[in-house]
Amino acid sequence: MLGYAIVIGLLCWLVSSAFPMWLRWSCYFGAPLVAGLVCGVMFGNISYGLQVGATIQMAYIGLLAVGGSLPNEMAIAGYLGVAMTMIAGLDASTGLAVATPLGLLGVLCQSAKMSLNPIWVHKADEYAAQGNIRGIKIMNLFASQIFPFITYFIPAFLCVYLGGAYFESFMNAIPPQITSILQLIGRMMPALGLAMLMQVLNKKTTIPFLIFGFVMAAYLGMDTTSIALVGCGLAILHFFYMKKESE
Amino acid sequence: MAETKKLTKQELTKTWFTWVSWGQICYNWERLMGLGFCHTMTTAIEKLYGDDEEKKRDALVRHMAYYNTENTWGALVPGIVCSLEEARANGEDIDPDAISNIKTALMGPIAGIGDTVTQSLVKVILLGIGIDMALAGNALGPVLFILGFSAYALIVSYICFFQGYKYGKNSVVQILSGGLVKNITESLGVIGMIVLGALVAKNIGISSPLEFTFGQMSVNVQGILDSIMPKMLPMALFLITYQLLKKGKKPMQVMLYLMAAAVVLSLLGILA
Repeated sequence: MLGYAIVIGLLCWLVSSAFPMWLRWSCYFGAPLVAGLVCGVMFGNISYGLQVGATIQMAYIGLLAVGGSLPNEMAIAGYLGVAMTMIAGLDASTGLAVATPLGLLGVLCQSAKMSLNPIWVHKADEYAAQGNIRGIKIMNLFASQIFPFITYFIPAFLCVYLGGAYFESFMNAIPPQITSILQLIGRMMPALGLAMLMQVLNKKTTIPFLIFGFVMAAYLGMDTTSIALVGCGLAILHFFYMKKESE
Repeated sequence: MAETKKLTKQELTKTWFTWVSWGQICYNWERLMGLGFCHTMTTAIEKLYGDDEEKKRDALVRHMAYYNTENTWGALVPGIVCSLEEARANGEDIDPDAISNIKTALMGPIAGIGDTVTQSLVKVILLGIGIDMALAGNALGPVLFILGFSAYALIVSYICFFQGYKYGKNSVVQILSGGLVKNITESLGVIGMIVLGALVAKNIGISSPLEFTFGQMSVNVQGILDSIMPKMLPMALFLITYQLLKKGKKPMQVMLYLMAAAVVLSLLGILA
């Protein structure tokens, strides 16, 4: 359990804060999906991991971080949520009921980091006034990691290391009615993310495409890649028509 | 007249890479990306003002200011700022306040475009594909997602940064003129909507376990619904949720409604 706890703790910390941004985008927004593969390899059951990761990810697909904050901390919900679900051997659709509360607690980790980091910014202000470029770089790259390490690595590590052994019996003690409620919540939750996405994307001129996508998936059973490719073709057509109209 | 100072391709590439890697590493409530922006500008500042301690300090302090945008498309701004600082270091009449004003003026609109394209289009499309593959047991799903999204971040930010540097403060006018960005965003919205429609059918996994028995005949409710329209319940739930949000309910409230509905519908055996 010690090794697992260290890996999960490190992932929560690195993905939430320390990875370079271009890599963090994917590992953060796709946290449950990526965690599914990582934990699958770690616990030696890849297909179970992928199942749990993909199922939890669905609920988060439409979430948008506007102005830097999310209602749920994705790194914790993803890496810790998937790991705890797999440790307890829970059904993939129950996983969301584990990930969401953890993600809500994770918002506290994030707030703590965001509130404490200005200390280093003030230190960097002093270095800037002295023309000390090295000092600025050290503040940005290394000092900035002290609080995230404390607020992400330590809680995630302790949760797996101390909680892992009891979590399975705790989840097993839950009556089946509660479990089926939790699973239904998990199945309904993607509707919220997708509805939020609809709010951002909604334009009168593009509503027909929502219907096309639905029909291709529900009636024709096409996979997402081929539907996205059809979408690319239609997007190019749409672009040409709009260009013609404005000319 | 001193010789002109020109940022080399290598220095510019380093600046771009610093931005796209470390621009947000010390994210905080007070200045958000302020320190990251200053770190990004250090290479250029060292080169342009390295021989003048006072100007160097001024530039460093100036770029510590509050700053927040979307990282990928936002790479345009350090590009523009590099070209402005370069012109200023070569004696052109560019007020430092003007540089700060351009940063402040651009961060909002660019975040608007960037957040929409990055988070609600590119992310959703790539995630949709990744989830689909992972559910089918294909371990390439998460791998392709990481590769695709990282490549997007690197390529788009690289182009934006160098376009920003090339055209300076005119670049935004150039890019935003003619409605080109509007057309591109709306066209990308076509892919977004089509994938959204598919995700409604694929991701909302609710169905009805209800069964009525009339003597010898038993009627399966889900079977009837499927014969009318497959994935009818997911579509209905999606539309209800969207209506709630449209009426101004907060996402957190809607989440609570969904949980309450799940408790009732699950206990009554209507939904599973």
